[in-house]
Amino acid sequence: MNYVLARLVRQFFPTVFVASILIFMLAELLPGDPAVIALGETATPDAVAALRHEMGLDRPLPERYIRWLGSALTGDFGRSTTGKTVTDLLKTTLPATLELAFIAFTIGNTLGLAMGITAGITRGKLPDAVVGVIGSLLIAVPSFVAGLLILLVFAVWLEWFPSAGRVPIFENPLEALRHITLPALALAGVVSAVISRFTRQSIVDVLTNDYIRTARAKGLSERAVILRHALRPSMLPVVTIIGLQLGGLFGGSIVIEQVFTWPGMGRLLIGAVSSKDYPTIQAITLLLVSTYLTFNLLTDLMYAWLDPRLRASMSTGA
Amino acid sequence: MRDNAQVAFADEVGILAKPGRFGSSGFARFVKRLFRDPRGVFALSTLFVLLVFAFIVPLVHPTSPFESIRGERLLDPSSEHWFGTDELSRDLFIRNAVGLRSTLLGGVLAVVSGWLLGVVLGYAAGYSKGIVDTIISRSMDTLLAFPGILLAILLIALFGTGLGSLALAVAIFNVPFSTRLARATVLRESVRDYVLAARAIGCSGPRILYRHIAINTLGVFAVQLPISIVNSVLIMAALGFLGLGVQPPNPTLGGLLNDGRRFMRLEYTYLLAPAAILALLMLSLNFLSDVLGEMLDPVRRGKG
Repeated sequence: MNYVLARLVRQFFPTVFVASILIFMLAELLPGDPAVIALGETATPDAVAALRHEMGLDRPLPERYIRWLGSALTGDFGRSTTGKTVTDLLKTTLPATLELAFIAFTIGNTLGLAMGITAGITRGKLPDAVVGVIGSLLIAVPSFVAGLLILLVFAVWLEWFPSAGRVPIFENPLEALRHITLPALALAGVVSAVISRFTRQSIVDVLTNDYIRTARAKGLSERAVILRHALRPSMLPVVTIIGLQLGGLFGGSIVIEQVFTWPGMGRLLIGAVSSKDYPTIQAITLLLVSTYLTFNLLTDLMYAWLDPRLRASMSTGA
Repeated sequence: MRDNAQVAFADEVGILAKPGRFGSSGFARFVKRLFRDPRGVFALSTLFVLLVFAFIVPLVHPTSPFESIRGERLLDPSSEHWFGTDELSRDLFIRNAVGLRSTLLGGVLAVVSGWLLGVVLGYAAGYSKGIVDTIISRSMDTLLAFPGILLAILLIALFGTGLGSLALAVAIFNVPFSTRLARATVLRESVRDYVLAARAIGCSGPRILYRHIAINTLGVFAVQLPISIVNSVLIMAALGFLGLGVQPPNPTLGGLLNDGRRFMRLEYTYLLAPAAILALLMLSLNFLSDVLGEMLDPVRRGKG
């Protein structure tokens, strides 16, 4: 419990706090006056001044930061330069990104575990080598390049899948599945490679334990040794890195969404950067950063929970 | 297999026992060992072809990357235009070559500058400890809170587009990683006997850092460097693909991927060529860093 508190107070909250200041300051540092951008270059100085006042741009910086953070915490991120509220924009794009990340996460972990377990129990044999090569390819080729290549093959040449867009899952489940398959696969590739490497190493390590030798010595079949004695302990370290993958998926989906014109937060962000839509940039960044930090925190806590030695060394201050 | 590993290990111990004598024969042995691994062969030969493509082809190729040839829009690959032509009737072979060159130059520039800054910050943090360390380390934690490409996107939003600001964004992206690594090496090395000895004979702090710690920990950075180049080139290409990189008409790999994506139904080589180049580049750099890491780290070589 002490460790949890220390980790929260000394690392999580300070980092979130400083990051939120940076995100707030970003809009200040960006070239151009938001009021002018919203009204267009031809606006009269009076109109600009009025809008600046309405947007609160004429108030001191710290006050604006506190107002901004306060309303952001209640889910109000202000008005985008498109005229809609940022919350409305997020309401349509956030589910798309979550859906993509969740499906990619499921595919990536399932594939990764299957590959890693296969490789681990056939160590040094052909399946292990095949999985190793696939894993190296998946890690080496960036997901958006892999995405572009599978887009070319499966959407343009073979025409098995559509090349762009999203269909809500409740409207037409089959079409929804067809649309999400390629982007989810592209995003899942790296996850499966990382999980597979980790799982393989973990199984290889566990299989060297004395109790595995005992299990074999008492005449258990190899199948029983692996299913009953090796698999469960080897999954513990793997569980802890699964959380980290989810955080990274949200970052990775920014580019993948662009490849498959998936109408998620990533596309919204890129559009906002090109049109200098500060409130939208800030909202998405804040969401991505806090999600990422939360998953990192959960992962760290999971580590500590699984390995009391780490907890002891952390609480003495390292 | 086992014997080979042992020979290689003895070989390496031999080199390690004579620091500073990494002369031409040592380098030749080094390259020879790289070639003993199939991944090394693949990586070095692919990199050689890609480097010739990026740096020699633009010098000797007769066509300009900006020249439009009337009536030759979105052509298939032919003996005249090896990769076809783009929507503005420009030769894609030369545009890919120049694009790869600017992506590579930008990536290496970003890594070098990001690493120089990071190493200085990391050394300062690790050596001075106390408040300086806290400030530097917490700042790096904050930068690392922005997942992957997000930090680079925000920096581009801040600096604007262009090769210079692109390289600057990617350089800053590299800083937290190199700072952490440098800080960790200083913390680990500063309790070693040779550092204590240097301090005892009255060496100044910067001298210890530069003449003793930096020289003795070069290997750590040598392994990390290819990984950083991989990440930087990848981020450069991704930013270009997102339309946040260098402005047209200058070609970059990322920009070509973006344009190729738009015209993939009309002319697939437009997309395939830069995608294949980038994939091959990433594969060979990854393999190179794997092989280098295993050569320099006997523990990792033993596993597997």
